[in-house]
Amino acid sequence: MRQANLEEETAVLGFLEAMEKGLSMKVLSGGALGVVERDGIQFAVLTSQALLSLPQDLLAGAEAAGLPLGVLEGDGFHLDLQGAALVAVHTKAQTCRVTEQAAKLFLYGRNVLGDSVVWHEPGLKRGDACIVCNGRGESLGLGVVVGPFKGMREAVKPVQDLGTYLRDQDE
Amino acid sequence: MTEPDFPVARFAAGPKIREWSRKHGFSDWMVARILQLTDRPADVLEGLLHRPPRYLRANPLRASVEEVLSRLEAKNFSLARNELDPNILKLRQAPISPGATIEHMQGLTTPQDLASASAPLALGAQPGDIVADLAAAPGVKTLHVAGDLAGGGLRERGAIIAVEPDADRMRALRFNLERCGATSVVMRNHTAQELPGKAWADRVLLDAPCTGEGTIPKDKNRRHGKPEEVTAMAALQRELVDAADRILKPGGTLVYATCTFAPEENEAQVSRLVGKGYRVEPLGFDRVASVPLVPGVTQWPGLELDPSVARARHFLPGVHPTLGFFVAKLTKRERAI
Repeated sequence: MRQANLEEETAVLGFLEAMEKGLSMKVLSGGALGVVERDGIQFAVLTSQALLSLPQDLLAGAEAAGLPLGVLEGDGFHLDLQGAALVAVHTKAQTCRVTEQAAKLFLYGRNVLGDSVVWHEPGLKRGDACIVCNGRGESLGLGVVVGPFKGMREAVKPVQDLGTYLRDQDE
Repeated sequence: MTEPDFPVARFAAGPKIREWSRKHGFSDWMVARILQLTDRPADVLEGLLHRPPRYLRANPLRASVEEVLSRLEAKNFSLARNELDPNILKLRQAPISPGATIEHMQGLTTPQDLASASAPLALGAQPGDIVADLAAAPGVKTLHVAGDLAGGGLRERGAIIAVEPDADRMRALRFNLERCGATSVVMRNHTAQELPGKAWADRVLLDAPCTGEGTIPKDKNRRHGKPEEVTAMAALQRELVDAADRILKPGGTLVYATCTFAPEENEAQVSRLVGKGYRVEPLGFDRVASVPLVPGVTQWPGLELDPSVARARHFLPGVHPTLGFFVAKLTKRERAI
């Protein structure tokens, strides 16, 4: 666990600002950005300056720390489940909202049919990553747009959903 | 692991205790010991056989308890609040497992026994504190402390060092804290004894590994405990207590808790800390569901216990609507001038 360096911070903040201007300030909300490495993956995490100011021997070698927002890869950043949850609190950018029944199915790893989408950001198109939300606008997870937002065909293919917290713990 | 310097006390099990133990598959030595802790033996025996009410806790990092109540009641859950912890809700009726609700997946709720909430309540973490949680998985109490660091807001101030030596349990800890949105926790996968440094924690929560006699109502396997298990656990707990003492700042608060009844694992450890200059403090609460908690024992064969350990408290199944639990709050003396 360590403080994010300039490149890492730029990658995360740039990603959020590309979604919506001003979003990074809202998501970070006075917190600090850290980086945790586990299994060769670098996770960008939301944390506090108080935590990052702890003695180095308490931070080094941590299995996890802070709230993971996403993964740093090369020069880029990819949103993760909790990052999506925070983003959806502050913006409708790159989100779609689905029916209650579709929400339940999505949480079991099922895809979303076009007719189950009750609202979507107008700019979303095939191939885009999107945050799948329930009717309240709360994130249920991440998906990829694969078809039209109408009809009985697959519209959003699941990538990661909150149900993973149950399924993975049951293993 | 060092051997404890006390024997495990045994009491004569009379014919009724032996008959009851045989009938229900308990070790009679264990039942005879448990009954020494209470003046309501029939209630405790009944409590050991039946699972107490289940509880969940609203996660203040995600939502208010009112919002959780409203959302779950809309799904036909029936829930009741309690006097000990306003965020804990007793499940009176649950149409589905609370763990299968979207509210759980979103981290708005987490299962937590009412008795176990007493440990973080006694700890009383404040925003800005540096807290060590020395046996953290699955993270329910860690999360409770994180909520306290937020001081009623959504974002914590301060930090928690959460230690868990078991890799599988570490995974559960990580998942739970992530699901529930905690930002203030550093999770370390090693023993508490391996934590570096001295006197850096404002507060230490040690919910120590134990023989788990208090969880018998939900785990029948615990009915067949052996005295040597108490001995082994007491030795491990001594090492953990020493680790807690090393990292706690002078003037800091240590909460020692277990989910067992055994005084060798409870009052003896607290008394040992008193011998190091700690003071046992009142918990700040003294009853649950209007029933007084049971004071720590001060007399137990083979143990020399400081009278102040009576300020510690036991939750007893059948007497209280919870699993069995022990909790003590201690203050480390300031450095001598």
